[in-house]
Amino acid sequence: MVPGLIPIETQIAAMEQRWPDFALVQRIGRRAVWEGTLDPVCKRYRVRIGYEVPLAIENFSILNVQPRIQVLSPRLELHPEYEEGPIPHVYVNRAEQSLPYLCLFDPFNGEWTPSDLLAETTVPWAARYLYFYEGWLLTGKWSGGGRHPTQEELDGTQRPKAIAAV
Amino acid sequence: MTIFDPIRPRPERLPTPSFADAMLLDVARRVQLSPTKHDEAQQHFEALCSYVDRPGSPLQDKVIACYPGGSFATGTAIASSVSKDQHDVDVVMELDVPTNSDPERILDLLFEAINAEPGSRYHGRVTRNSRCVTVEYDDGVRVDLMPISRLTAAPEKAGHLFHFKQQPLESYHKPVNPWGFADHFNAQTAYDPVFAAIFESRALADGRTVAKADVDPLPDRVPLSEKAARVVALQLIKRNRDVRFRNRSKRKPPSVVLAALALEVAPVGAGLLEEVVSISRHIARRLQEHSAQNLCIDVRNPAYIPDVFTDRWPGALSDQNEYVRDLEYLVRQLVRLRTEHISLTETNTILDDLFGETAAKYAIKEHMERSRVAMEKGAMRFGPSGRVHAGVTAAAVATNCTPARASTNMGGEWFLD
Repeated sequence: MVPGLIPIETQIAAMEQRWPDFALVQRIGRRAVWEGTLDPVCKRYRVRIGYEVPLAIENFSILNVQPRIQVLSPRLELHPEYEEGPIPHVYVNRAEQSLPYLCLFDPFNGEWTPSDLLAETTVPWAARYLYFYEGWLLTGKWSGGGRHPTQEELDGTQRPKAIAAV
Repeated sequence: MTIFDPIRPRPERLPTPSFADAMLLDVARRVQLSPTKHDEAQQHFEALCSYVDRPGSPLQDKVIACYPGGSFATGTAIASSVSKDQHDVDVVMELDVPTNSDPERILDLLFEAINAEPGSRYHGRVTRNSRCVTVEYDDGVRVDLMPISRLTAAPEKAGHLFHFKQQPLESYHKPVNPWGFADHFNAQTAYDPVFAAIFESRALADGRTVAKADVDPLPDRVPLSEKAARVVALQLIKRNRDVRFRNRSKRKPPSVVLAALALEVAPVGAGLLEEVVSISRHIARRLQEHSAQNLCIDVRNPAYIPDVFTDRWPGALSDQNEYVRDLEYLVRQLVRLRTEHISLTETNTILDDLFGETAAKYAIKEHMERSRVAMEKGAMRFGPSGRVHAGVTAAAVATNCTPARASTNMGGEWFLD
């Protein structure tokens, strides 16, 4: 394991300790998938988190190895007429458009790396996303901040908008 | 002439609200008189009283005292129209006239004293009602001046009000003591330090606190943030009543009746929502008890028993039964807000339904703004189920929750292969 890379066992243990309501539903080698419930305001959301620890020899980019977070139920609503619409801050899922991946951090500026625990970053960020998503649904405005990638960032990779599924 | 301002208690500092309480607090803040409006209203009525007493007025040197009455005196005043920021101020004007004076004559004199000749200060802005004379201002404030003559051998400031109505003809005197009730109410609602803290913390939650001097320029006036839970709960109940009665062309339960009944129940000290529920349930129960005996409720001024608060409402059993249903609905919806897993959109729907669109929108907007500021400050905390706590609430629950460092939501059309 490359120094700094957190092994999947450690991620699983941290998730179990911090988010006991999240169940490990799949574990294959370096890959794990959890499902659990978040209620950031009052309403409950079923959320799936998939993550695969990159190999030491991989020349990975954060964009590609980042954890994948989906809201299973209720499905995120589409509002093209809203600010940041049709759904704010997501990676579009070509295979299943109603299950986009949440875009929770800036992959170009090292806000998350495989040295971070999902339990301390991804899950609270997902809760925060859903919190502001509820406000967006109600007001049509996204209050949770964020930014759009610059052209330079988009030009920096051959497939800048693509991330790999877990 | 003396202008009185009842002394109101000055509470202490306090803790933090639940989500439901926070939303109700913001609704309450929106329906209350702003400090500026309060000051303007006070200036309006003081000027009016001097005007009535002026040389050449039909009531020259007849004004003994002027003081706030009704909700203005108990600190439970709310906007009569929130979207228009319209407020009504009840003012009691003690006149040096015989207690058995002809009601029509007294009301006419007061009307003439204020309306005066064309081109004068208040001309054209004055309306004579059955018990008061109303003056409307451009800033949305409406001052209701109720003339009374003081009774001897009665409690301090007890007097006769003058009631006159043309159609159907009604002319009589009614013993009242608004001052005594305000004094009694304020004494009963003094010091609620737990709640006072909630309002305080709400104001501090986002670092956008208005400077104290801006909020409360007068040292002797209790700021909104220091009110007791019972007072704010009563404001919410009154606001709900006003919303329910918007499309009913009938008399609504008087504020003073609700205030007197609210005093019968002990403060629960468990937050604003619980206080509203507790008071609403109590009022509903009291009304039901009378309906069960085919009686309309009889509520008296605890400071002066001859003063009957329920002389004009309920007019019939159906009136009090209708309000029981309103209160039961209010309680059911508030319990939903407290216990059910509902979205912010559903929360907004409930608040809109109970307290009107403007107040609901304000509460949601404040909530989102506080959240945004908390996020930017890294002050968000996350509970065991992912419940997000922002601002001061976050600090209060910090021991049970974990923080998370800031991150940036990225936008744009990002695809997955």
